[in-house]
Amino acid sequence: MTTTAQAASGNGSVLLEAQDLKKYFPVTRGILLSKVTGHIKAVDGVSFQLREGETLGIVGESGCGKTTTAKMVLMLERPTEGTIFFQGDDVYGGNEAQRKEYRSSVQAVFQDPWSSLNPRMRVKDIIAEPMVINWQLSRNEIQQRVMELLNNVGLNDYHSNLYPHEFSGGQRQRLAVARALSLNPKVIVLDEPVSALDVSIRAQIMNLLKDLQAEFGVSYILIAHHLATVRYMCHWVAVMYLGQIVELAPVKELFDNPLHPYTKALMSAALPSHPDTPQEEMILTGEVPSPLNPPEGCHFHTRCPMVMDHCAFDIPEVKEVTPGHFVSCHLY
Amino acid sequence: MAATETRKDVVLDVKDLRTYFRTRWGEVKAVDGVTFDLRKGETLGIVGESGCGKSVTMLSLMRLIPMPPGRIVDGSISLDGEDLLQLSEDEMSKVRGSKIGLIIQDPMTSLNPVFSIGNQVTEAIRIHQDIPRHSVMERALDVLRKVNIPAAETRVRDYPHQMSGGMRQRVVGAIGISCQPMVLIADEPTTSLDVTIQAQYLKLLKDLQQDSDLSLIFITHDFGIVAKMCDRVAVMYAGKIVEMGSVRDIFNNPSHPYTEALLASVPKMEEDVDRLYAIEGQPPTLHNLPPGCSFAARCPYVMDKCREQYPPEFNVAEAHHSACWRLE
Ligand SMILES: Nc1ncnc2c1ncn2[C@@H]1O[C@H](COP(=O)(O)OP(=O)(O)O)[C@@H](O)[C@H]1O
Ligand SMILES: Nc1ncnc2c1ncn2[C@@H]1O[C@H](COP(=O)(O)OP(=O)(O)O)[C@@H](O)[C@H]1O
Ligand code: SF4
Ligand SMILES: [Mg+2]
Ligand SMILES: [Mg+2]
Repeated sequence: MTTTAQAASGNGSVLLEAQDLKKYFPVTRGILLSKVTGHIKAVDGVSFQLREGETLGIVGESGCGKTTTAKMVLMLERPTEGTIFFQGDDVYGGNEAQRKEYRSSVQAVFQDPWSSLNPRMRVKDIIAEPMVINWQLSRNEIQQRVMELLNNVGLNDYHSNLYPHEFSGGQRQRLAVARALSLNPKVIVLDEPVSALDVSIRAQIMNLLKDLQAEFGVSYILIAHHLATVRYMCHWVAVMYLGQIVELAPVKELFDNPLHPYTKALMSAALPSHPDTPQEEMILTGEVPSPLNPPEGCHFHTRCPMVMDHCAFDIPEVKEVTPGHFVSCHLY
Repeated sequence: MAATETRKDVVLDVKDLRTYFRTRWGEVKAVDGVTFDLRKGETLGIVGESGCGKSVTMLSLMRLIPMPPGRIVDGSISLDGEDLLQLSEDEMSKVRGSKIGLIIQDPMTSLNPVFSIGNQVTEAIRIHQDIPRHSVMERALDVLRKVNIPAAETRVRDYPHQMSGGMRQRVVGAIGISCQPMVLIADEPTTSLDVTIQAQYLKLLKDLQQDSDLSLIFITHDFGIVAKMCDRVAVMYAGKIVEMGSVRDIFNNPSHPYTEALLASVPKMEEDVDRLYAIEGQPPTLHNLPPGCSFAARCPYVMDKCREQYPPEFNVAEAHHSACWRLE
């Protein structure tokens, strides 16, 4: 996706840019799993920009490639093709020192706070760990910073001596945020950070994340499937379907003027916030096709209510319909 | 009040239901004095956060509480005029499925992995309905088509793992309606589904309901589902119904601080929200609840009295009541 105009229409400067990212997972067969019979096109040409102090939301149904995209940003998965630029440098092109620097600038918080919190470590050690590995600080300095981080995420000094199991789900997510913040990252990837939490706790965490962004100017990539959450949290939104971004726009523009039929379908499928909210019934038939054999032409054509003849074989280009609003659909 | 008029339509009448569990932390009052009724063709939503007693309420209605550690200690459950708590286990197993059906959250646990779909649907029909052997499969195909399983004739040979999550949830739905129950309980049936599949499923449930005048109880933690599906709502907190009313009354005039706070804590897709209201603290654990209102520790309006005595139900409007001392 050409993203020069995405740059022109925002405020902060571009911090991170994904260029045509692809991730194909080989599907193997045979005793030694040596025969590659196909590829799962988990991510198939994704481009976006993330600006300083802003949040980019990535929405789409399960299996569309959100987490795989996040993993490439986190260098946990190597792109099959494409690359990522961070502050102008190609992160896959640099040397080991540059990659290490990048890795500490980009942190993550996942849906399940257990996955990042070692159950046998005390909270203070969990939070201190990245600093111990990456920074030369005295014990005292580290101790002080741990307390500061705990306070930043709304926990208290006495929490530092406890173990993760002594915390509720919401508090554990706070710990995960504190740890992610410890190295003063520029970017935090949030992969469904509130989905596993109780309804009354979700707002606490969302507000906390917003406050931290306002205070530290950190940028977020927020992965979510809940559109209302995205509207509340994000400045930009990318809608993914079968490994591709089908629409990308500033948040208000996307919700006021959704263009792609898939975006519209997602919005009409979303639950209303009031019984009198008028709802367009645009119910998609069928399910998402397999990324092993995505449909020809527009990937969405098998479910699209607006499908035209050529959608089945012509791949739609990315068009910038209004400044900063990109869509990939033959209707435009 | 037209109570005597509407009473005729009541298919399910639950009074002062109490279901407790014995645990090593003490007695858990999972459901503690729950009262509601359900009318013909109506959809009642039961909303609340995890652990507040929604599933235990429904399992009590089905009499599927594991005993021990659980026990229905008090109350009555009148279905179509018959008190389910007085029935023998044999009698109850006839009621289950034929008069009251249950669709649960995780279709993988309610489907048996070693039997084909066809097998499981026909089995459900055979247990509850006295229809000739040769027409059982026909009836099974019929319900599978009703829940929009494409090519039902061939899919009946599939096993659960060969189907997608959305498809499995439909099969569970098919089993739930296979014997034309009067009451169908759906316990968070769409929680694990993607939004577009969820929309299909919700529409399906609505269509089924319209076809057969089914009464539906929808259990959820999501007010969006309530807004879309329900006629009336009961809001549960810590084992009790804290507010109940028509869906419009609850959304337009939430009268319990918990309902009010929950509604203010969810972002909206249709409009910008400046800042969400965040309820402090977390839901209480159900053993050793303090006396007084269970929400007192998190309530922005808490008064001394709230900590001392559990509030009675106050009427807010006709058929809208709330258990909060502020309404005294
Ligand atoms: N390590 C892997 N090996 C093979 N396939 C994978 C792997 N990781 C993800 N996939 C597949 O890639 C697709 C995208 O997955 P994912 O990025 O996790 O989607 P999302 O986060 O949007 O739900 C899915 O079809 C998934 O099954
Ligand atoms: N088999 C059981 N043994 C002990 N406690 C139980 C059991 N089942 C449920 N509970 C307790 O009952 C309470 C209500 O649970 P449940 O009805 O499942 O909540 P939810 O509203 O999430 O459906 C919880 O506190 C739970 O711990
Ligand atoms: S009774 Fe008191 S504590 Fe409970 S909800 Fe009402 S005002 Fe709040
Ligand atoms: Mg994911
Ligand atoms: Mg439950």
